[in-house]
Amino acid sequence: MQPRFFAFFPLLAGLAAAAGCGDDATLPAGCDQFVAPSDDDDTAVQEMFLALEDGQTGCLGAGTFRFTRELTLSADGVTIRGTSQDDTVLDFSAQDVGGSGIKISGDGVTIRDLTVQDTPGDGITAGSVQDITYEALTVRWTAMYDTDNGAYGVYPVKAEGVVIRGVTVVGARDAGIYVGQSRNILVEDSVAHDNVAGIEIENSFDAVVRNNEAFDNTGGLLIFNLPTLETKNGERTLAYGNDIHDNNVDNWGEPGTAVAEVPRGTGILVLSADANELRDNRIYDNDSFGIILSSYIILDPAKNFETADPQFDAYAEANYVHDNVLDGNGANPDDLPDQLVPNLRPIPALGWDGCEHPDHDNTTGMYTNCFENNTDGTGAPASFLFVDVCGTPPFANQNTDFGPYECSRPPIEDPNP
Amino acid sequence: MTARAQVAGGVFAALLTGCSGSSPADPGEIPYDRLSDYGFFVGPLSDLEPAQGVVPYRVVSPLWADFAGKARFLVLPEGGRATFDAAETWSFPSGTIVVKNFFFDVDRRDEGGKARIVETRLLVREAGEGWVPYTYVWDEDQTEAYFHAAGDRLTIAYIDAQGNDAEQEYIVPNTDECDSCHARDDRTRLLGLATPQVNFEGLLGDGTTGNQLERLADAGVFDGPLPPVQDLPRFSDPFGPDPLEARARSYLHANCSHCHRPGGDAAQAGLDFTAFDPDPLPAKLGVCKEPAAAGPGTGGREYDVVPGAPDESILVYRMESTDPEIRMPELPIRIPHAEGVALVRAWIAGLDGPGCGGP
Ligand code: HEC
Ligand code: HEC
Repeated sequence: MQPRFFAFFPLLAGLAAAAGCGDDATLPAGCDQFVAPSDDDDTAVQEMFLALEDGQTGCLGAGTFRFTRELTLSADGVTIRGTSQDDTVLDFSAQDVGGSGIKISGDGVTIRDLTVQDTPGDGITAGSVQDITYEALTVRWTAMYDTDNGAYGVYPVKAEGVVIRGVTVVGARDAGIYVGQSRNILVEDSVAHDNVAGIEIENSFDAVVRNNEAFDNTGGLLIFNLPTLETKNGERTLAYGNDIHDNNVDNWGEPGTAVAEVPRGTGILVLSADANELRDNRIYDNDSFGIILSSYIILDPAKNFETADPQFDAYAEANYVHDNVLDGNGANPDDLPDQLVPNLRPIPALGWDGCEHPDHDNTTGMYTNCFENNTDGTGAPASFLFVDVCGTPPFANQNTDFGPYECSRPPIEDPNP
Repeated sequence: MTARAQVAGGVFAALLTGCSGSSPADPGEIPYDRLSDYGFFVGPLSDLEPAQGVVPYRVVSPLWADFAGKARFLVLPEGGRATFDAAETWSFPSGTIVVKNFFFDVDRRDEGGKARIVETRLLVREAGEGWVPYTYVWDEDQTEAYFHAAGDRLTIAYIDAQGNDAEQEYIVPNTDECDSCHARDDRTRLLGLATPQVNFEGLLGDGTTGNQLERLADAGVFDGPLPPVQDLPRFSDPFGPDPLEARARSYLHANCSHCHRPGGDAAQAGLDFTAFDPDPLPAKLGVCKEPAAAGPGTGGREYDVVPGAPDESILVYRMESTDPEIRMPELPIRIPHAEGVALVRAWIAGLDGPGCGGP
C-alpha cells in the first residue's frame, strides 16, 4: 500500500500538514509518519494507521487525541509510538463505534509510550496475531469501579508471542492485563490495580509472569482454564518475583462473567489449570486467599461442563508452588471463602480444593500439586488448607496438613531469564 | 495494487489508454479517486443505471445495515467468466469487481421511492492480492462519490413512518473493518455471491422476476452450464413463507456467520451460524452454550440460547443492545433490527426445551 492518501484528500492533507504529518523535514527522529492532535483525530490517526507500510513506525505527538470510533491497525511489523505515557493520551470517552479502542490485526506490532483511556469496550485488542508487544503504556478508566468501564485493558487473544512490559492498567471491569488463548507469553514489570482481576492468563500456554505488581484489585493474579473455548486446557504458566497484595476490593464484575465469581481478597487463583509454577512471589494482605488452586467445580457444582465441553480438564493438577512469602492473608474473607472455610481464621495462606480428575491415575504422583518452602512473614512455614470440596460429603475431611503435598516438581525454565 | 480493472464494454476503453498519471483523463490505479472513474454506470451517476457488462443481482438474505437499501452489481473483466461452485466458493478472474451501493429512502412511508445514496463499496479481485476492499462516499448533490479509506460518520435525514422529520447516523467502515466481516482464515472473501444466497425465485436485481442464479448464468457470468437449480442449495427469505427455523438460520447466516464460523473474526467464541448444514450440533448455534469468557456482554444470562426462553438468551440480549461493547453484530451496525430480533426470538421460543437445566 502506498502512503499516497494525501492526494485523495486535499483537505486532510492541509490539516495533516499543519500537524506536521507526512512532511519529511519535520518528522521526529525514528518516525516514518507522524500526527499531532487536531480537530479530527478519528480521521487523521486512522489515515496514518492505514498508510503505514509494513515495518514502519507511526508516531503520535504529545497532547490528547479524542476518538469516537475504534482505530484499526492491520499492517505487519509496525510500531505505534507516542511521546511518553504521560504526554500522549488517546481519549475514547466519546467513542460509540467499535468494541475496542485500538484493534490490532497485523503481525509483529509494537505499541508503546502512550496512554489509552476510557474506552467503552476493551482497551488495546490484538486478535489472532503473531508477536504483539505492549510496552511502556497505560490503559486506564477514570471512573472507579464502574461497570460501564471496558472489560480488558490490554487484550491479546489467540496470539502467538506476546510481550507485555512496563504496562499499567487501572479500572478494567474484568481483567486489567489479560492474555487469552495465546502461546509464548511474557508479562513483566507491569502494574495492575483497581481492576476486578489484576492479571489474568486464560486458556494459554507457556506464559512467564514476572516482577509485576497487582494490588487493590478483587483478585491479583488469575491463571484460568475455562470450558467451551477454542483453545483448551492451557498449561505451564511460570509466575515469579511478583508482588501481589491488598486485593480486597469488592467484586464489581459484570454478573454472568467468570471473573464476577472471584472472591474479594484473592491473591493468586489457579482455576482448572495444570503444570503451572508459582515461586518467589510476595503475597500479602489479601483478605480471602493467598494462593488457592481450584477446580472448575467451585463455579459449576452440577458439573455441566462435562457435557458442554467433554474435552475440558476442569481440575487444577500438577502445579508447583514454592518459595513464596505469604503474609497477612485470609483475615477477612468474602462470602464464598467464608462458607467454604467456616472455622479457621485467618484462612490458611495456601489452599487446594482437593478435586482430582476422575480419569487421572495418580499412583506415581504425577498429578499431585506440590507445595514446598513457602513461608510466612517470619520465615515459618506458610499455613495450608485442604478444602475438600469434592469429599463425601464435601468438607468432611477439611484439614491443614500439607504433609502429603510437600514435594517438588521439575522447574519450568524461563526462556528469557 | 497493480491490477487495473478491465471492465467489459466500451465504457472503460478510455481508461485503458495512457498510464502516465499526468493526463487528466487518466484516473491512475485502482482505487480511483472517484466512483465515476470506473464507468460502472451510464447517465447520471445516481441513477445507478448499469453500463453494458455490469450485472445487477440481489441476495435472498441481505445484511441488515441500519435501514439502508442496497443495489449490487457484478462486473467481470472483458471476456472473463466465473467458475461455479455449488456452495460458496465461486472463483473469479483478476479484474472482477463487485459493487454494493447503500442508499436510504428519503421518505420511509414510500419504500423504493426517492432515495439518497450514501456509500458504494467495492471488492476488487487483484492479481496476486485476492479480493481487496475499497469504499466511496457520496457527496450531498449525488453527483459523485469519493474514495474514502478511513471511514466516516454521516447524518442521514429522512421522513419517518409517521411523516415526521427524523435523523440517523450512518457509519462508513474503514477499509480494515471490511475484513472483520469479509476475511476468513486471513483471506478476504465474497459473502453474498454464493449459491444458496442467489438461488431464489422472486424480484431480481434487474427489476424482473425469476431465479437469480439462472439470471446470472443467462448474463454469461459462468464458464459452463449450471446444474439444475432445484438440485442446488438455497437459503430461505428470512421474511418469506418458509418454515421458521429455515428463515432464522438464513438470517443468522447472513448477519452473523461471516464472523461466527471457524476461521472467522469471532471463531474464538466457538459458534458457527452458517446455514449449510441442516442439522448442526445445537451448541454451534449457541443452544445451551455458556458464553466464552472473552465475551463480557452476557447481561447476567447464562447461555447463548435457552430453548423456549428468548428473554434468557444472551444472543437476543446482544442483538437488542445498542451499547457498542455488547451489540451484535459488532460493526458498524448501530440500530437493532426489529424484524430480525423478532424472527430470532420466535425461533428460540419454538425450540424444544424448555431450558438448559442441569440434572
Ligand atoms: C458487518 C459485516 C460487514 C462489513 C463490516 C462489511 N461487509 Fe460487505 N458484506 C457483508 C455481507 C454479509 C455481505 C453479503 C450480503 C449482502 O450483500 O447484503 C456483503 C457484501 C459485500 C459486497 C458484495 C459482494 C459479496 O461479498 O457478496 C461488497 C462489494 C462488499 N460487501 C464490500 C464491503 C466493503 C468494501 C466493506 C468495507 C468498507 C464491507 N463490505 C464491510 C458484510 C459486511
Ligand atoms: C463483525 C464480527 C461479528 C459479527 C458480524 C457478529 N458477531 Fe457476535 N461476536 C463477535 C466477537 C468478536 C465475539 C466475541 C467477543 C464478545 O463476546 O464480544 C462475539 C460474541 C458473540 C456472542 C457471545 C458468544 C459466546 O458464546 O461467548 C453471541 C451470542 C453473539 N456474538 C451473537 C451474534 C449474533 C446473533 C450475530 C448476528 C446477529 C453476531 N454475533 C454477529 C463478532 C461478531
